[in-house]
Amino acid sequence: MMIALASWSMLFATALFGYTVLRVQATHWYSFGAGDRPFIQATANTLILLLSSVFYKMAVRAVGGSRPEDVNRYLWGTLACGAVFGAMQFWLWQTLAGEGIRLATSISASSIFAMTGLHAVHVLGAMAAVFWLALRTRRRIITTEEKTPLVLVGWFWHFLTIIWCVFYTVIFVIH
Amino acid sequence: MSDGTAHKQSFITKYIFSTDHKMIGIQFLWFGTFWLLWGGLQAMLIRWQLAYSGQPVPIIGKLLFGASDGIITPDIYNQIFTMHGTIMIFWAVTPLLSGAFANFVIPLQIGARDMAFPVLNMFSFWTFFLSGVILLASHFLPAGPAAAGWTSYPPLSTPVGGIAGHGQALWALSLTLMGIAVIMGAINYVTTVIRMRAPGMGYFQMPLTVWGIWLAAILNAVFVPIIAAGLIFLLLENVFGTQFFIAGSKATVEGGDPLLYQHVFWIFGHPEVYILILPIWGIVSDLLSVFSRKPAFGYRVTATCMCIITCLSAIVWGHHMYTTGMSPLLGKAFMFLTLLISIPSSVFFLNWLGTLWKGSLQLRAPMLFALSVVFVFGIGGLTGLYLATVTSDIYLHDSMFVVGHFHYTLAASVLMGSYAALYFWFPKMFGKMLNPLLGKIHFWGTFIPLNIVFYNMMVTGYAGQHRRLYDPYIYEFLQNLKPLNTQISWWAWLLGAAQVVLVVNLIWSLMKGKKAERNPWNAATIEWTVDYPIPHGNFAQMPTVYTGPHEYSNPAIQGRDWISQTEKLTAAS
Ligand SMILES: [Cu+2]
Repeated sequence: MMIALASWSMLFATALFGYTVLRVQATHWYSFGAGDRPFIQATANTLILLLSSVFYKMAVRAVGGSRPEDVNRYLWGTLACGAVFGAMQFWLWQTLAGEGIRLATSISASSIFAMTGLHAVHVLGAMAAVFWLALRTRRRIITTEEKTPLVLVGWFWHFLTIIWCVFYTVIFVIH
Repeated sequence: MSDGTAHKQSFITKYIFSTDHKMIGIQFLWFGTFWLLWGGLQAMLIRWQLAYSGQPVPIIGKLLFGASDGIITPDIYNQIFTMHGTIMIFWAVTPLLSGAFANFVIPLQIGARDMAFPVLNMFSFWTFFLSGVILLASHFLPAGPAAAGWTSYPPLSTPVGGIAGHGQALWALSLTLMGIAVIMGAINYVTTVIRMRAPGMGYFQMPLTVWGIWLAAILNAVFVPIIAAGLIFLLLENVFGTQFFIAGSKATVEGGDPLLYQHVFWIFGHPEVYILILPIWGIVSDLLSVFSRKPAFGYRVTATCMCIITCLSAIVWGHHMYTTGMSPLLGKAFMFLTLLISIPSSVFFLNWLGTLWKGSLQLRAPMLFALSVVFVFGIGGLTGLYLATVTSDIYLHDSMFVVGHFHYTLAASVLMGSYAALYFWFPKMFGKMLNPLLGKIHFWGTFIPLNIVFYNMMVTGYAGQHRRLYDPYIYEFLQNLKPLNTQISWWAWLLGAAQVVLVVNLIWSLMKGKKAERNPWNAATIEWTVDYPIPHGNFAQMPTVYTGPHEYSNPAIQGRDWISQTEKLTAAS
């Protein structure tokens, strides 16, 4: 899993590298003020994703604890956050499109959509994995020995949260 | 499965959706061989155009290019050389090395029951297969497949570049899928080597084959995602009309950068060269030792040199871009780093010669191919120096010299090395020996034409022939190259014909070949301690490793000149 994460890091790092090169060269780039709707939506989304990671962490903590049935509950919590994130992301794209910022409008618009889209696709994949775990832990309680898949999917989930925080910073925060 | 005994499997789980590394390796072998023949056929067509420009291709011409009466038109020519390069690198050589031999050999040589993630391994093959289907389908598009060269530089590879059709989009899509498949495989190989080595097998007891494949897998895991990102962006350009890589008057929005793609491509593209050649270095190092009946000379040094080259390969990509107007300082830095690679390369090359020195050479088919790698890789490596040096590269850039050079390193070295591996492991894969006489005919039929073809390609390049000209003879200064180009073509067709011998040998040996003994080459590595057919789980009893991978002609052993890695030196003497 470490190796897989290294691979994924290179994928996102390349996207980030491309973004940086394009942004540095561009004469005009979209940036968002604190009161702009896209900025507010993206900020809310960051908080939601952070919350999802907290839920996940608590799910892993609950394994082998006094209330093992909480594992399942927290996983559904993570999943709910993921779903809200996806919906919010879609809403964010709608907002941008409403302001005339579409995928092929300009380099800067293309970059925003490509980067957030690349991330969103991975979140969907991670949600499928968490969904599978949630189903598995629904009826039966997993022991500490069985928690490897839970831990590994967790790494991927937190990894995506971190990636989002980086993307959020470079796209929505930096002017 | 983990008890190591054979168990009943249905046809589908045994031959199609298999999780057994040996079966997946064999699937990759046939998959890669199919594409090797397909890409080879395209090479023959390229040579037709360069020899008999504008004349209809005999026999198969009408069938392939009915619309133009069998003539290769400029558009078709672009498509053919694009697909030839793409296929040979990503769908022929990659599945053969990082698919077939990696899968088959790693667990057997390190004494593991299977890969670390057998199901992932299965997905890797079928993702690869799907990518192949998409690429094959792109050949049947109305406007034909991609035609912007195997590097697919923008703007040629984007809709604003002017090449019509959806071939480029399918090219990017299939290559992305191929990349995902390769990464899945690489994760498996890296993890397997780290975690599943038999007791007693430290890193410096691993056969050099495993070293080579392992390092290549590390490069795959790190650098394929980079090109995947580039390809995803290229796909967006083609499907959604973004303009990340478009600048200048063609661009309708400001700010894109075609050089960005070139950087991303070569940050991956240079390590890719080592992804292809590292397994071959490993295989050749081992085979030279087996067939000289001597331990590999400087084993640890060779392994270390391979590691150093793996690291260096990450920081030299700029040598593909000297003519893009990079700053002279940057150019010099890339030149220095690139030339630095020749030091560890020379060291292990000398180690190869050291292995051969005073050995009792057995010129059997795998050894002939391995020896030929020493020769052709030597030439390929030395001619690389001209391209690594800024001053000579600026003249030779994009000429047939480059084509000749990388065919020496990639086509010649990698292909001959793959054949060495095929002749060597075929007995363990299928329980039959490949016919040695046909093997020798195949060897000489490949080795001689191959050198004539690729050497003279460099000559034409030095004389000024650009690598992608449809009809070079419209230029007066290239007209006198026509006789030489025609000769190259005839030798190339002979080279192609020699591969028929291999196909015949494969089919004949599979059906009627001599049954292979357990250890036909008297080799010391672990895969030769198990009998064919190797059951799912590989070993009835897990092996323990006591010696290095090249215990040949040890004076402490009497009666034979080798002991297996699983034997104790004291017990054998
Ligand atoms: Cu290179």
